[in-house]
Amino acid sequence: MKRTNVNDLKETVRQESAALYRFVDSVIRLCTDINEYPVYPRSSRSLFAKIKRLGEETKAFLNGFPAEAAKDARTAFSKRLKLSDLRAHWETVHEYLKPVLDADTLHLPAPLTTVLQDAIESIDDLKDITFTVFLINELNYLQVPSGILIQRANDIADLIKGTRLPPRMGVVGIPYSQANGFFLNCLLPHEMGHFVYQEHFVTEVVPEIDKALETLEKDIGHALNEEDITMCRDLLESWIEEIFCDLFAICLIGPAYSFALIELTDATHLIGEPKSQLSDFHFFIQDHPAEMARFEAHFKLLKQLGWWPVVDKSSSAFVDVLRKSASPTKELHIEYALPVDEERFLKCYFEVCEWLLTFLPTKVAVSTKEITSFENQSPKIYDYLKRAIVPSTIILRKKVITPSPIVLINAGFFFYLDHMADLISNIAGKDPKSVDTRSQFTERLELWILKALEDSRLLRGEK
Amino acid sequence: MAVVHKSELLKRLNLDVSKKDSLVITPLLQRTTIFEDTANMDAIDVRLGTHFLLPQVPPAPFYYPSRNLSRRSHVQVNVPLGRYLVVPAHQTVLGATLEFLKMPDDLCGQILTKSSIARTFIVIETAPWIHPGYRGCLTLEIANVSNTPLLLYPGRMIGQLVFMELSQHDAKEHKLAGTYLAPVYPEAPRFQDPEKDLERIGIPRSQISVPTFKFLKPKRRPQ
Repeated sequence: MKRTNVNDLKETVRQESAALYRFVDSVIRLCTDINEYPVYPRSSRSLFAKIKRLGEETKAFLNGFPAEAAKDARTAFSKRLKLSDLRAHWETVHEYLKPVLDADTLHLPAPLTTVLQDAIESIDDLKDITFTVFLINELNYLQVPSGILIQRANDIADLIKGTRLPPRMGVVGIPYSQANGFFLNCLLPHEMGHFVYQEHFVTEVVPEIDKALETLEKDIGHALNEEDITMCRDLLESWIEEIFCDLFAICLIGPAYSFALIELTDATHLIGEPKSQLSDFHFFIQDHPAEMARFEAHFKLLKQLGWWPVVDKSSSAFVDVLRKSASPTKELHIEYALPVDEERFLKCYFEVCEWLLTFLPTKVAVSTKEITSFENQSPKIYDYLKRAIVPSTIILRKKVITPSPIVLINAGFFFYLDHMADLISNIAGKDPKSVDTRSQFTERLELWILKALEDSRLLRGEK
Repeated sequence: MAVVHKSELLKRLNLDVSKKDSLVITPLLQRTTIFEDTANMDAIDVRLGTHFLLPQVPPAPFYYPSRNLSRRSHVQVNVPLGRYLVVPAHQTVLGATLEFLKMPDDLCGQILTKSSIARTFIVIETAPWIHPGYRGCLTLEIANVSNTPLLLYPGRMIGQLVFMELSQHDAKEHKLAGTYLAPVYPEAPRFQDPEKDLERIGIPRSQISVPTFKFLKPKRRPQ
């Protein structure tokens, strides 16, 4: 019997190709039954279909690879390195595909993500951007930097001369424990903002950062050396991207975003904070501006857009956080030692931030109609929620009205901040002071708001 | 007890929510068609919602209606508008109406299978009564009693609501109550343990049989 020589190059390449083929096949098999149960949002289905196609193309490539590699023994080794790259890229796809597969419509705030996708598509320059949501383990909302999944998929396509993924496909993560929630998921537009920034706005914002740094050098009277200017630029760029995303989120959904951030960061601790003991909220760190500075920008934008008079009516501590952050006497610091004066460097940040406050609302227009509608309709929406009724249709001054998604999102959040006790007092045997009861009815409230968002879309789309 | 006419229902649907006799049905799609003269005068059609609870095979040869186990008896599925759910022959599934309902304090009601649906041998309700003051999407105990698997499309009409006026009602404002307050999806049944329910009517715990299965009473590990 003839024995196969395992050292035979052709056989080794065949073995390597087959192993990778099997790995790719096992990954794309997960994308095969996506039209059955569970159900996925349109953007996820589209992503799975494209990954599947890429997998089929990779398999076809691997089928022909041993023959191709054997053509010339001198280049065989370098060709085989392609297989290692291909494997590494598929390993990344493997890592990110599962969290997307976990995010079916039962494990997503689907009505909210649909509303956000609709809002982004309504912006002229962003019409073709789609978002796929996946579940993450960290309790921090995360945008996979520039879409690693998409990048790796495109690297694979380049290696095998396959089909690249559409360029404007963003991927955002939400913590798995918050999958069905509403309030914290109002942070999603910020994460979408990262993708929108990288894809669309970065080229318009970076020159403003350059300008601010040039002014800084003029002010200090000398040019910074390469290492120092790189450090300053990196810090400024990451802070500006963060604040861009915050402002983008407010333009998209209004004050509900600020409240969600206050909840996530426990920023209500700022209320009653002793002056002698500055908390982390006052410090700019590597990736983020200080929360105090972020909330100050929120306050300014809310004021500028016309939201502030309605926000100001709330007696919630969340609104106090915004008021306190707007105080001109607050202290702000940078966590790192810098080559320039801290105060002067922060001035650079505030210059670009001020520019963003004027620039962004011209690009992501907020309809003042929404704010007026909120003002008119929110008291009535609270009447519905106090009575445990989904407010997808309301009767206001004898007229039947379908509140818009933005009105519902914000009314839901204000109700959560100001009126939970009113709801609980309406329920027999429930104590508004009980934490357990409040938590239980917050969950109910989230369901009612998500249902109202779903209904509102149906009613508005009705022929 | 008279069945309430649609014109009265429309009047109540247009009342401010703070009024005790106001009625809410939302989303009321094709609102104008519903109240056209040609439509039925005594009922409002409702649609099938998008979430379902499919019964699971219990971990024992029976279903034990107790506090812990009753919630583990179903699998939740979402069938968005445009997709369908297959209900196999002689099988059951819990669904809900797409419409959220708030009943006035002086009306009670009933949900009935739409006649065209009934003719396919789908039954949508075994607990059809709706109490005054109820709010929520109505849970539907859907049963396919035919010999053929049937497809259900969320968003299509499945039932009809009929309302009746109470012969007497007090003017007092009632607080909200109920085991299933304002649900928007079908919810699994909630029970107390049988011992607890029966003790309340004087049956001593020692006389109450509780099935002894491994999954019900896990063996205590030695210390």
